[in-house]
Amino acid sequence: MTRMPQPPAPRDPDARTFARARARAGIVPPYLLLRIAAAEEHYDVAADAARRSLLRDEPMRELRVEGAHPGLLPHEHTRSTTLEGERPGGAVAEGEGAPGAADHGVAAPAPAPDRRISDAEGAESLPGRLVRTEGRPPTGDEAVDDAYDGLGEVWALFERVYGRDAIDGEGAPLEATVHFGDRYDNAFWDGERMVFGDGDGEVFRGFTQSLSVIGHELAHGVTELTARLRYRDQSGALNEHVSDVFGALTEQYAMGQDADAATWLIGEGVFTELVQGRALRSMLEPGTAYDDDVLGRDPQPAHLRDYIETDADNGGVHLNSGIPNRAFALAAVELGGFAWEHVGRIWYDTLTGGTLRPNDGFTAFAAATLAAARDRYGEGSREAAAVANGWNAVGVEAE
Amino acid sequence: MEVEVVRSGGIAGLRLTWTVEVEDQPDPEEWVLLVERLPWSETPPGPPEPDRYTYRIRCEPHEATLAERQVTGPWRDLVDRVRDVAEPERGRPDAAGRAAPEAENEAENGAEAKTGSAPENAPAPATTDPERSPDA
Repeated sequence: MTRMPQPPAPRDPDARTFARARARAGIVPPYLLLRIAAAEEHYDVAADAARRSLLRDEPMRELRVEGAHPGLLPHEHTRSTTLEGERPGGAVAEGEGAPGAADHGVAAPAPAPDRRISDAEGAESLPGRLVRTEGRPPTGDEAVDDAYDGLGEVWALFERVYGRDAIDGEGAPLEATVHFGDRYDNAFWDGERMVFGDGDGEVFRGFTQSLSVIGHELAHGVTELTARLRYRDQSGALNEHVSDVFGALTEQYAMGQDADAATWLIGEGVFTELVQGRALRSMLEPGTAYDDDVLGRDPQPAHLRDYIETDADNGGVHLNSGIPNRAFALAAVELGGFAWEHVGRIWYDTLTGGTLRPNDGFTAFAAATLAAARDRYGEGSREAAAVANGWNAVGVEAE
Repeated sequence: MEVEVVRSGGIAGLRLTWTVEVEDQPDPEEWVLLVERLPWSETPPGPPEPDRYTYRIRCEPHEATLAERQVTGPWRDLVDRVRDVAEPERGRPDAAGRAAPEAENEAENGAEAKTGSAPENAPAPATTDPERSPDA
């Protein structure tokens, strides 16, 4: 049985339509397999970066564990057992010279993430079976290992750059469940954990390959414990926006990309090769992430005048987030350099500063970011100017 | 009798709609029974879970909006049934209503901006932003 929609009116009755039909039947022509393989190489750059950096760190970690505590199992190597003077970054990616690394005092115990990945094994029940805990070797299950590595990268961004140890700031476990549901086309945050489906294989090929998606989900947890932006209408679009911001920054931080080099895409690689599209969303150019005969065109507005009023999707939270997304990306590009170091910091200050209220809309949020920029960088700073320019470009009054 | 299930939300923000014409089904009585024993009036708003799906289920005169977490028991039976017999339609948000108003709006603004201009300019874009030229 298939749940594939019929393409309404295929613009090109060529190989793509044909390929879709074939893929649906489970018979993929060899030329397409080759294209998919090539595309996978391309799309997996972020996940690969995560894996590479983890590998790079692995020997050091092993040495440390074996050398310091001969009898200590890797998964017992947590904050509490870390030696004084040890450099931070036990279990997650962090190479020498990695950008943005904060300099921790040598006397403080180095924080480390506490990741717990469970497997729903195709059911829709949570949490599923616990399959990989902190410090354990890869399982060989790609979704499990991608989630584990990805969570390490998100943890690194929040801890190293913003000094926030995990979602709650106190090192609580980072929990994720993979293989949720049968061909489940989604990833979500249920209030306690990140949950990832495998995708239907026709439109979506899974969600753990994308570092920005993993960052997006974890950031929902951070928002829930900080600004508590209500998940409806404008405040909901801001909640989504904040998740896109830290999802994109996770990817940029992991890959060492500056604002110019960054793709500003959310969910690059979650679509199959059959879909005409790069990602779920583009922060810099909302409305341009995909244009496909089955999915239609990316509906995100890039300016307040195109704000979408709808009852669906909690009031269009995944649509109207395009407006603040563009403001953020424009400010980052105007400033240049590493976005997590300036605009990201301003947004983090805004999120955690205690001035936002759950029902705040775009205008209040914009004003809060501008205030945060002035607080941190000064009234006449170029950072404050870039933030004001970003909001101005999307039609939102920042003051 | 028509049963419509609209799934919106999700991290991708894509909307799917399944529609079933109950009379066209081989077992219409079972459908009617299923629809009638649904607790239509007992669906308090669920706690919002970021990126999780929202379902709007409609069968005149009934309508209910449920968080995915609430789609259990008979609701789940109905949704599974609908998905089994119907192919989903993918819709842009408000595909029915949005395209038209947008076009009207553009024509309106275009007329405003170009009062008295030649009629072939009528479908001019609403804005001066060159990136947002209308679809050819």
